[in-house]
Amino acid sequence: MKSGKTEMIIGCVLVGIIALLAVGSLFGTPYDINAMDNTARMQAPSAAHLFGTDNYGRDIFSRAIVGARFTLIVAVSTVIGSTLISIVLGLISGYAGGIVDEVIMRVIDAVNSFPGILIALIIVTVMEHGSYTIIVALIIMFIPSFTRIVRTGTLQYKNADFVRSNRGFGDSDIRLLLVHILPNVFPLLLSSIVVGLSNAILAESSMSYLGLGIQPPTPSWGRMLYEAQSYILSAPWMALAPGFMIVAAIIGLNCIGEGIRRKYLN
Amino acid sequence: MHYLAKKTLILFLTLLLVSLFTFVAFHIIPGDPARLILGTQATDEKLEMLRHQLGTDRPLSDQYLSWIGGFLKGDFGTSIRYSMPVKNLIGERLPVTLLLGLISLALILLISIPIGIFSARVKDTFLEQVISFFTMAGISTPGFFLSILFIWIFGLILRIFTPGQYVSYQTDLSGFLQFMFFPALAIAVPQIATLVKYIRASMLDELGRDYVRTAKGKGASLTSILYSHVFRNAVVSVIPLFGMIIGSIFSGSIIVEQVFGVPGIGRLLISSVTGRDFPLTQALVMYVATIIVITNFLVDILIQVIDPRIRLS
Amino acid sequence: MKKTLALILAVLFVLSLTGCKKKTAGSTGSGEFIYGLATEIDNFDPFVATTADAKSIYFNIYEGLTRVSPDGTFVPAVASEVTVSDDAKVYTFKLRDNVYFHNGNPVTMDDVLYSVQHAIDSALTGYGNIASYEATDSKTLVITLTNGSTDFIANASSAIVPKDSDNNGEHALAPVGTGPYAFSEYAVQDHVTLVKNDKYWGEPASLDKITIRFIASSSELLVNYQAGAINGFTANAGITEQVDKNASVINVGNSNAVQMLALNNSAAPFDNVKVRQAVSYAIDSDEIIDMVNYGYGVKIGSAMIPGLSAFFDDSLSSVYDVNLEKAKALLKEAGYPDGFSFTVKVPSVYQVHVDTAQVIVNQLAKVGITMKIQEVDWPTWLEKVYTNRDYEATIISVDGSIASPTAFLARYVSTAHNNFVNFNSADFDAVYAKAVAAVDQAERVQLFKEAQKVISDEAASVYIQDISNILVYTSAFTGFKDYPLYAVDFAAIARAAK
Repeated sequence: MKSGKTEMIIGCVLVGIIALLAVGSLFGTPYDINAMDNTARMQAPSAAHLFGTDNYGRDIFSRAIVGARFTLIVAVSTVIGSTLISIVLGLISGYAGGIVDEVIMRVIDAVNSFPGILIALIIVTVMEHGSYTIIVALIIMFIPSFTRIVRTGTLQYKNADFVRSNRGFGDSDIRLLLVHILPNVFPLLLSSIVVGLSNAILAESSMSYLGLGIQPPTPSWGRMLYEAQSYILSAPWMALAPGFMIVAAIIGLNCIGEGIRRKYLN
Repeated sequence: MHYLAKKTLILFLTLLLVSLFTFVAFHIIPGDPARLILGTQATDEKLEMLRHQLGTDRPLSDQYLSWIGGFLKGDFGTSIRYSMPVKNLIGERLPVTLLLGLISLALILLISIPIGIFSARVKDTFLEQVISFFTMAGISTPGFFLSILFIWIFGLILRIFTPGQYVSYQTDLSGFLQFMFFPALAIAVPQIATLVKYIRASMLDELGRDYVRTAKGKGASLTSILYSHVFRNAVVSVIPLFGMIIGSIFSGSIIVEQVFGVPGIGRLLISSVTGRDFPLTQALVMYVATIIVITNFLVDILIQVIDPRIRLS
Repeated sequence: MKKTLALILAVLFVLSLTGCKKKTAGSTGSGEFIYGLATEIDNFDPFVATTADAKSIYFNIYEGLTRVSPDGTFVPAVASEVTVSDDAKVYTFKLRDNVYFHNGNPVTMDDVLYSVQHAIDSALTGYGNIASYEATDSKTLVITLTNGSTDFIANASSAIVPKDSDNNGEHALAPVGTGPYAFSEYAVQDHVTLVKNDKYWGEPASLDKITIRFIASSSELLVNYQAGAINGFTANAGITEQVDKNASVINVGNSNAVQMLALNNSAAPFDNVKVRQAVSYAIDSDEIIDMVNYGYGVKIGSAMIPGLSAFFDDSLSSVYDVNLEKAKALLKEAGYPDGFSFTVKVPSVYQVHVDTAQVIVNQLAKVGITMKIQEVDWPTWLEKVYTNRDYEATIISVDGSIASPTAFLARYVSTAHNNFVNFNSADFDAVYAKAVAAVDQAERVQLFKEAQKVISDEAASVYIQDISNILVYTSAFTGFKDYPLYAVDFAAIARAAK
């Protein structure tokens, strides 16, 4: 328990299953995800349709596992993109200090206090809503918290003895940052990255729910939830399947994050 | 004092930047409020007439400057879409969202603190496992999915409230509370779960300290130790979280209001953007940003006051 | 510890108690009808708010010299008598006696003259055609047009308002008209209340009060209806399917709008008529009506609504019946043997169009055409697609400002300001000009039908259906009337006899 092993196992199993389904969907799904059939509308879960069918008679299980793929693509790209940008911003801000630090942090503060939904709306409208525009919006929303972590870490290490001595050896600033500071800061980021993944899944679903995410007919979990809302009374399974997949994915990721935190930081 | 002055300056700077972002955003996104009001039947001359009437034919920089000027004087301008003072529009909705936020906050505190303490007490038992399972589930369930679940379970199956049938707090307070309980709970659950986790961790942390052992050695009961020392110290360690929690309550309320059909600030914000109502959006964004910025500001000061050892850079 | 727990339990208990208090569902007075509307009406100025939704509500508050009747003809309202000269250039209106505004004042010639001038100043449809107008006596108004137009009888249905009432844009929030219902209250994003006008000149309204509640989503409308919080609403087909049909009346009428997959005739590859025809052959309107609208729709083949039955040419509806072979052959001829790919910009506020797009994606895939859906919000659509015509294809329902063929066909004239599909046909321009000038009714009908045929031959766009307008209301009420224009006539609604 102390080492976070149980969490790691639960998390890996949950995330593993979902990832497996998502990858598996590349090789085929039980049903064509876009095939509509007006004789099979809103069927309750059964052996033929594991999670039932939606208002167009589309198989929800097939759509949910393809949705997993798109949701995960968005989440992973968001986290990679925002981590890279945040590392650059955070290192510069923390290391340079002074006016550069001030400017970067003020902009970060402002972005942080700006409603995320508005950021998404603006990016999506400006960039001509492609399927992956939402990634750009989410990256912007994620930068502030990541940058803060990197900056704090940088501040912590920039005057550490080993950095000072290397500076004495004539190492350039860039070398100091990349070779000596970053490797120490990165572990701090690691558990945030995993938590960031689950936040990205959440954010993607919320945005898709508001019609700002992946474009139809491509399914994503948030989109499926959104479309299910009109039928919550007659076909609640339309909402439950993608909803619980979201919950399972986030539980899994949070468990892994917890596991990492306990193992590396305690 | 120097610290306070600097913080205040930063606060205003941040708000100015936020308003500038909104302005730039409206400069970039397509959409003309006049055409929105007139629809597809509009003729060019009618459009021009209305644009002039609304003042949207002026350069945007002009609109921004006059907005800033008015804002500093406490005048938020007139909504383009609703032809009413923005102040009135927000004034009507502010109590709804604030009450929603307050009910959530009350639920968060009332539920998370006892459960957090309790879970620290039952450490290493089956009950702790149960609590930690629910905490994990709570943290992992998005507010809008909870909203949908609540609407389905409590609204449609159990019929405890009528989804979408919002009751004004002015006409029927108990009806209002009855309706607001579920959106508030949907906002609160993820925060409760987060807080339980933190309180439990910091309680355990405190329980392992020397003073607790000393107190125990002196024969004090666990309960009295818990309340007299541990609890206070644990709460202090949780305070920094409050900035985040209040931020989450308000950002959470945007989408939860949308799902439950609560006529609060969140719904107004979304419709003001889709209506390209610049004065209204600007005012609402400022409102949201101010709450977040000021909360963080207060939390920083509070930490300083409670525990001067913590150095803030 | 125990105390805290007890406290929490107590609080939760109290909350659940208040939660359990039974509300009397549909606690409405016997004379009130609560109508749920998905789009908010936020402007009641009849000289400004000209969208269909706004009109449908203020139809009850305002009246013009004339007003539309359920059969689509225009009948006198504030005027008691209308005479039109043979060349349709001179309109003479006799004012009705004893017509009162909601503020209690009688309608005078001054008010009428003010309203006409205000309509001209506001550039309302048809008023640009007025050469002169004058009051020959206190009860007679003569309006002379520059060009003869039989449509002016419809244009004259624009609101009559009290003199000098628009100095501060007060119509927007405090409308005063002469209709069977008077405006009473408006709460932003919540509701509008109308009360019965006791001094109405005609058949008085049956119910004392109408409340229009703005409810943002179709699922909320359904839930509210089922809970008795609203008595009726306009539903989409998917929602209608979930309504308890035993306790409800399902009133299916036309929406009188042309749903189309609009193709930008200036953008490749849709500048090629063969490509447009190929797309038309590939799209199955019947399947769309079935799949998206559960059968609630009327198939069309050109830019005319079935509601204008005299002018509607039903034979055009089957011209482009699905024929995948023909579609493929046409694509080959046009130089796209392997199909092509394009983006359709769909206004996200209209779920029905987004759904239609999803069905079309599947249909076009069968002939090798890849259609990508891009949702845009309504203001973006209006600016980018409708105004700037910066798009390849879009899906939209086009409505008409008046119940006249010109309202639907004028936009296809190559130079028309609202020709957002960039249709450019000399044949059409010629036929349309002749049709508008025609005074003889039979000739006029014939020419407008020819104009529709040109649009169909050229496959200006893909014409899908007139989506049914489905009004759902509880069996406790009766009396709904369908209009060939978007209008909800609350005055006709009454409590059903038990």
